[in-house]
Amino acid sequence: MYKMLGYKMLGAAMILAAGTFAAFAQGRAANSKRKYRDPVPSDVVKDPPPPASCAQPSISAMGVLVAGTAPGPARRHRGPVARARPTHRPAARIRDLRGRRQGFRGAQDCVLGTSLLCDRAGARADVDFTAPYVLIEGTYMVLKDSPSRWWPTSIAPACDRGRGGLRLRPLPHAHLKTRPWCGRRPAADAP
Amino acid sequence: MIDLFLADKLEAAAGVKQPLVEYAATDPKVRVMDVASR
Repeated sequence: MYKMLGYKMLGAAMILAAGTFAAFAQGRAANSKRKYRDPVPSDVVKDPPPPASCAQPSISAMGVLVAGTAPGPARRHRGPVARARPTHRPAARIRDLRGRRQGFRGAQDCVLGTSLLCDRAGARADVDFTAPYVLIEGTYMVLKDSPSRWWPTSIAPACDRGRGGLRLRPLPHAHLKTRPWCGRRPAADAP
Repeated sequence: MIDLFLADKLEAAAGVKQPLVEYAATDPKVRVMDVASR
């Protein structure tokens, strides 16, 4: 009889220990979630659009936001694009877009390119851009012996105001020169 | 953009960080402003 009672107590102790362990583990997981801080602003769409088929006439595509422009509400930019291929590239690989003429100029943000391209040669489709959710880190390059140590972000050439010849208020004797594709709607041809 | 910066002898070139850093690593005449220099 005492043996049975001992087994029951042992079983109860094991159940209690398992429950305690599970509660502790859940608490740890919840704490770790609370500690995570997302660097992306909350009003920026972070989830990539679903992969699209090249056969679809309209493709949801990534938009990219030039550093220095504030993320705003969702905007839709439409523009022709050729040869699209679904590749959800992270911002770290944005260099792959360098030199490609796929930029779209929005109302306030300069969308440099799209990561959603189609391989179908000659395919053309209108691209609906979601709200920009890939933030590009911008920087400045100067000559090695340049005395410039800091460049006010207020003069960062966001494309909507980066018109060539624009006088810079903080630097009255300076003006901006921009690449043509950044200041106007680019051609639709892809490389 | 980099060619414009070099050809016109401009004070600074603004652009996406990755390609600028990549180019600066190959050209000893230029440097990229990083966060530490601000």
